[in-house]
Amino acid sequence: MKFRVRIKALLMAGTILLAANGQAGELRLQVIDADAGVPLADVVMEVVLPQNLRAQYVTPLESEVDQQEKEFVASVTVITTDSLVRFPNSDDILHHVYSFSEAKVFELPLYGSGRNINYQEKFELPGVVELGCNIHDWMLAHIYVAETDFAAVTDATGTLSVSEIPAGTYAVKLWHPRASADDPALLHEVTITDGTASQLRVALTLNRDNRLRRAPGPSRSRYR
Amino acid sequence: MSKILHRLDFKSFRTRLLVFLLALLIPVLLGIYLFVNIQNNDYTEETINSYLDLGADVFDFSREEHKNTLLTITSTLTRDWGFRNAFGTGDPYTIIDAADNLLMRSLGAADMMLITEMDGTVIIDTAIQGFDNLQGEWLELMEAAANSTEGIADAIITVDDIPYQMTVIPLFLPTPVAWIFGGFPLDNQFAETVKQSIVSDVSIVRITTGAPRIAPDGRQREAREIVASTLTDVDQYMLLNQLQLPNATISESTATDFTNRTQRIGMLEGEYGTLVRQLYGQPGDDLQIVAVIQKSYRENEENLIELQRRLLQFYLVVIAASLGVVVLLARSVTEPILNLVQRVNLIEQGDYDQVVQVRGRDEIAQLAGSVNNMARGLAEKEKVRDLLGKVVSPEIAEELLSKNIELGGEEKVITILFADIKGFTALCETRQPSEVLTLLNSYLSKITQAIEDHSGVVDKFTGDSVMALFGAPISRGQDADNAIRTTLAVQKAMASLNKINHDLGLTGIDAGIGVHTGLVVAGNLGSSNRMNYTVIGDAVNLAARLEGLTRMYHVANVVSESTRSAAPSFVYRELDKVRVKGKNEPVRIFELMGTAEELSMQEQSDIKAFENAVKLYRQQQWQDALTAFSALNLRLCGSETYADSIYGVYINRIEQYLKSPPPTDWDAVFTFFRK
Repeated sequence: MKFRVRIKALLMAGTILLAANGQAGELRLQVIDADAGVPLADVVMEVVLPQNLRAQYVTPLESEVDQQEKEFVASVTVITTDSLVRFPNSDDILHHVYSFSEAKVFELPLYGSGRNINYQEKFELPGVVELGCNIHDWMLAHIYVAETDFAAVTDATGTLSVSEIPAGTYAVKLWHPRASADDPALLHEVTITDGTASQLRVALTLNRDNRLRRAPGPSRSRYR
Repeated sequence: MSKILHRLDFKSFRTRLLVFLLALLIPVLLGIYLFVNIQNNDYTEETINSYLDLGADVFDFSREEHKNTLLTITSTLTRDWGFRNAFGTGDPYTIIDAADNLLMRSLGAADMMLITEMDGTVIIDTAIQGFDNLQGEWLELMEAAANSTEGIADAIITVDDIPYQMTVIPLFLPTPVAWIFGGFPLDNQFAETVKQSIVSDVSIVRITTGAPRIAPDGRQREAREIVASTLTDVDQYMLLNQLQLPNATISESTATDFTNRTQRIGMLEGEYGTLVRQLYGQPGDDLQIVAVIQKSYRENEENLIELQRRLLQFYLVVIAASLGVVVLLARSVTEPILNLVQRVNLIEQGDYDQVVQVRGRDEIAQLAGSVNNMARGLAEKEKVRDLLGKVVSPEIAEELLSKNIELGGEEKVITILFADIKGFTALCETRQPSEVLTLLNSYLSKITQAIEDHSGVVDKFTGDSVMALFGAPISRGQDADNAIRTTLAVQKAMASLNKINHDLGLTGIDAGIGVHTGLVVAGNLGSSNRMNYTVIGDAVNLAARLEGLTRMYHVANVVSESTRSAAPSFVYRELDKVRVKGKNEPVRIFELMGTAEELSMQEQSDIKAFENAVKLYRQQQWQDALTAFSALNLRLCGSETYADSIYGVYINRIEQYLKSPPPTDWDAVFTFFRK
């Protein structure tokens, strides 16, 4: 796919830039919704390291995507490859968590609260994993499997900060569930210098939310 | 109106009444009939239209329902874990199987499925239409779904020119990854389903314009083809030929009007109300699909015909009943009228005794009462007339009835006849009074008959005498002649009666008759409320005297000179010259002898001899006269005795004069001093 080809080209360019540098710095991101003008949460930023540097900056994590009130919490989770993620069920009903994403295909067939607490799914491949629930179609969460530790997600203020980045010039890619993959605003080039914090400000135009609307409240049916 | 009615010549009142009734009834009934027909036709029209409108709505509703079913089915598929799993893992064969399974399990609710990626790349197409990417109306449908908040859209899309109701929903895994199209054809099965709901026929018609389209089997499509229909083949054919459709040239609003307009299309079993619904395309498009909803007028028309039949039956009953009532009514009028007519005819013929039965108090009853009263009045009058005719002579009765009766009279010359029955008193002495009356009546009847036979009028009966008038109240001419003939007739009648009576051993009766012609006053005599028609005057008295003289002269009759002059064609003999009581003028009196033809030679010579003897007597040649009368008397009686005869009268007189001769101024007139 074209998109992937472009990314690869950028990544190669980033690798060359990084080679001229040997110190560390910080990168801050602030994202706003281009249409609404408000801070945009759930924007993932990943600093693309050259292939040869990646291995030393990968720290597998243990993370968790909970299910509360028939929603995934959090909606966007950033991990590195080989991280382990638990999918506990905090609701008193069953959920069926699945993903058909290329990065990770898995399913946790119907299970209730207190089950699968210690079960961990390992995410070995980088990429975006869409999580769904076969019972509750509106439940949608993403796990961003980054290639290195230099990735984070914006909070409610639309900001994030990644530190300890070796100085150099890198490709920085952004991702948001409702951002078009070919949106140029998702790709940036950032130069990191020692002891300084680079600031990236981005305004993202979002697509329409294609997610299914959540079914009405439990008053209509207590099995929802 | 009345002129027309008069011009119509009815033979009977019943016919007239019938014609009037029918003339009134039939327009009213006809009016009702037409009104009901029009109302019914309107009602039928309304009913059919509402059926069709309802049918069109139900058609749309059914389509909607089917569509929802489709959505439910496809939606269920997208939630099926197996299907999701197959799709998620990108297993096309499993996906096709899952789709096929679903179609089979939908029990016809879904007939085809088409699954594409979000960009319209076709993944599977159960209808195998042969395109890799969505295009045309498919693409429009997909975009419509993508632009909707629910991600759902529907449309009618033709697949091989067959209209399909299509729906599309996205497949969430958990974000939309595919479009699931589901569809069912608007085919015979669908038409049948709709028909079951709307009780109207449903047809789906495809209209193509421009270049002929080619069917999947390579056949060229007709300009109009039935895609699906609940009609029979023949009706389908008739529908295609007659269905009117809007064309490209008409405006959109006209097209709307057009589709709202009910067409009448003649089918095999009668007319169908037809309503068109555009399903696909617009007027003028190369391809249009319309739904045609049809409802037969037949059922309603059958109802109408049944109603008409009932109405006509009712009319027959009404007319029959009315006719019956009219006949009865007519009879109730005509029967009494016919009775009255019959009654009046009888009255005309003089029968007054029948009485018309009077029932009720209506005009006819009043008329009947009047006729009865009239009959009674007429009967009374007739009775009066009859009685009058008996009491007075018919002529007098007629005179009395024809003129206003008033006192007073007129002078006229008439002939008066008195007839008296001689020897009647003697008869009375030896008989019972009733017997006497019977006998008297028989004689008087004969006399009356003779009088009336000769145009005489009986004026009155006085005891045993009759007074008759000739020339009053009306003269028939030859009054004196008639009186003379009457005299003869009476004498003849008396003779024959006497002959009968003689055979019965009864004493003979003679009649004395006096006849005189003279001036009288004829008229009503009496008081204003009680009067007699009669004649008065000297002539009457003289006639009476003459009658009395018959006894003196022993003759059957005495006729005055004036009568003799008035009726000269008869044979008389002069009896005498007399001066009756109360009269100074002497009169010559005669005896009627008969007609010249009747008299024998002897009689005629006797008359001559008598007249000669009288002449001798008047010349006072007593001996000669005596000899002549004696000779006559001898021949009459056969002996010397001069019994009761005229000759005896003269013989006596001569013998008196012989003893004491009359004075010198004797004029040969015999004076009577008694009546």
